[in-house]
Amino acid sequence: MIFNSFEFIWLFPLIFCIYYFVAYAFKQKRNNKIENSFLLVVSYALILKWNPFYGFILFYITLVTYFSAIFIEHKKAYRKSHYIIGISLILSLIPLLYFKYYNFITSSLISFLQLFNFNIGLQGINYAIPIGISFYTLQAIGYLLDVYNNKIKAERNLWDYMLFVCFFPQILSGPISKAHDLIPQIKSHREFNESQATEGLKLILWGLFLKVVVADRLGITINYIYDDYLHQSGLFVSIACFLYSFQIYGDFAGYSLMAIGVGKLMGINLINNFQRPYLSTSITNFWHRWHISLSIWLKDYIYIPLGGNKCSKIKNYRNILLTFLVSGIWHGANITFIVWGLLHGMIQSIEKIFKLNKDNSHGIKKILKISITFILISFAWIFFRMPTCHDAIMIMKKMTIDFSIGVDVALPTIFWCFSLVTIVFLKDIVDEYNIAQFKLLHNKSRLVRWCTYIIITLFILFTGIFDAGQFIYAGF
Amino acid sequence: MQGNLFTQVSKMKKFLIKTIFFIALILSIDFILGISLDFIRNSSQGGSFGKLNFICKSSDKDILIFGSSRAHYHYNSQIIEDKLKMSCFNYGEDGMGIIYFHGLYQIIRKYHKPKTIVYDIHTECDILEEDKTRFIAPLRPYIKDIGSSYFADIDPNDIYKNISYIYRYNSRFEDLLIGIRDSLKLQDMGYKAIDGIYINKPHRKEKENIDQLKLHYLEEFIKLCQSDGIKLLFATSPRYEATPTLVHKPVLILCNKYNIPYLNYYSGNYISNNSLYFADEYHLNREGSSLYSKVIADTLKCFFNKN
Repeated sequence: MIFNSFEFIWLFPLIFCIYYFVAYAFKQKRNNKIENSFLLVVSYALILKWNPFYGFILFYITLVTYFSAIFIEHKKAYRKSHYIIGISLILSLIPLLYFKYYNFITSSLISFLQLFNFNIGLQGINYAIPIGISFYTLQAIGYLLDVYNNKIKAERNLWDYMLFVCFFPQILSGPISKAHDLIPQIKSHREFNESQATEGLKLILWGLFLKVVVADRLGITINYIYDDYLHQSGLFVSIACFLYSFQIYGDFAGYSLMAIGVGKLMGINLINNFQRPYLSTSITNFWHRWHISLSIWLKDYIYIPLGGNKCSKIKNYRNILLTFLVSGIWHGANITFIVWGLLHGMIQSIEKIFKLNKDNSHGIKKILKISITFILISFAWIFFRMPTCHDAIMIMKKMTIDFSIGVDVALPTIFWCFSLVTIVFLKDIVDEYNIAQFKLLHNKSRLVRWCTYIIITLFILFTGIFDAGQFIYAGF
Repeated sequence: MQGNLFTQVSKMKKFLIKTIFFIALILSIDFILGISLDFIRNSSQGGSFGKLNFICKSSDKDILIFGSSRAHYHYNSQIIEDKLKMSCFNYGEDGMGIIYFHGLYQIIRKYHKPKTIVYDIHTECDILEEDKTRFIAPLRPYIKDIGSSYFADIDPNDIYKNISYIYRYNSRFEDLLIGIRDSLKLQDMGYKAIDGIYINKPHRKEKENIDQLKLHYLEEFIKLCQSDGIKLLFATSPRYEATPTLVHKPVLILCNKYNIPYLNYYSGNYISNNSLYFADEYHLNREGSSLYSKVIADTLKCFFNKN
């Protein structure tokens, strides 16, 4: 269920009403079995409606990790769990590797062998990537590794575990939840909480604004410029680069907020995935604010097992590079994502070497650090956005050596794009520095709050793009 | 336990009441703002709203030119008027195709029926498969004239989306502003000239699929025009270095079925092979459009003489 679709408008209120009706009807039983069963049925129904095969993949990952965790716990006493974890990880990763990376691996292999005049024919596959596979696979593997590392006990209740993996608000594009955060909430007695539900609605509203008004509208201008960048002026290519940073932020943060909002309406708190990332003072700081759930996953299951920073400096830098190599690979089956990941890894290593990763600056120095960090992030996003490294390099060349300022996009459009960016930026500033009187969605005055809700809704109706495609991150 | 349940139910009631109240408030504001936007649209002097207001309420043009940007830049209304001694208005709209023009005509015909419509067929907009939602977006403000079911073929959910009066004007803020601010420039009767000469190599698209829905709308448009006694003529204007293609064949079949003339100047003629007449791969420049307009006007003259 895509949150900016018409289907969501009528289907989610129905799910909400049935869920709480069921909760109250079976209140006497004082457990969550019926409500959780309903959520499980809804989550699977939504996946199966998309494509029955995707449901099968999801179920396979769930079963593999569920039984593996129990087996690992059982075999720990016999010190054989490391064989089981290895096999389980391979079995869990097979669908992801096959659907997402098979074509990339085979084409890379073919290109590599051609360098040595070996020509082999390897057929590609023509299946769409099962929706959400990158997210729920990581979530399930995270659980498995937590059990292996004795951080949590293996979940014995198959239904609760299934719901943990497939919970519908987060399955499409995260956030990636930790078992110790989500499973207790699934098991616990949940009651309707009015303030939590109201907060959920606010998050959905703001998230929808970020997605359909900011991200999709910026996307129209950015696509126009980038699709024909060779014939655009250097100025406009630079503008597109700047705007893309906000497009991807609006797209992904918007979706995450809606997922968290829907979760809150169902009485479940999901991890906050974004914390004003463009106010970061370093790339290191950026990864504490951007896609927080993925950062935590990478830190806990890649960076720390490699040694983290509890090793020599050289090894530490290596660990950072490897972690972000994995991040790049996870984001997409293309060299551009790997370059993007490695860029982030390299810059963080450099920050560590020169001790630039500390967030203790103030005033002008802080503004300078934020600006430089934003420029570096925007440059790196070029590799994320463009289909090939060649295109990315050409874009960078255009930005740095083409000083033409030819206007090919209507000035009102540019003005509107910058207005949207300003709105997002100002809101982040207000939230970052907790400027209470400008916190419109959480203002003390009910009149201010309601006027804000109304204005945002009208903006969505009047300027939101409802015919655009899915979220950028839904492709993962 | 009962007390706790009662508290929960009353909290839920309070939440639902507030939510329903918010929705009711939005619907009310939506209705009021929608009426205001309708008023602005009807009063528009310039832009796309102004253009349609002009055609519907202030003009009785004998010949209307319909089609995408290729119609907009290719058919010089003044040349056609001078040659035929009949009034002509170029209603070409960039990026628009038959799904849009069929709806547009349903609005226009309530006010005025021209003697002739010349429809410029553009393969991408009128024949081939692609995203169709952009064709209905400009028609949403006129839902009362066209009927909400018109949109259901393209997007079944559009009927429900158009319940919102403001949504009908989604992404039309600039058009509304231009409508109030500008007045319609009528000296070229809708025609727009591009200057410049095309110097690049044309890029070739891969084979694409025929859109049966678009062909259905073409057929419905033909039937509507014929029932209104309008002389309809299809044409495909030149494209630079275009190669002969079978993609126009479905249009030719329809034209033969309904006895509609189809003038195909897409490829293989002295205009299409000459880059001096093109501003880009798809569009004739000022000189090219003048030349082409004379050809079309001459053809129309013969067409009118025969009929």
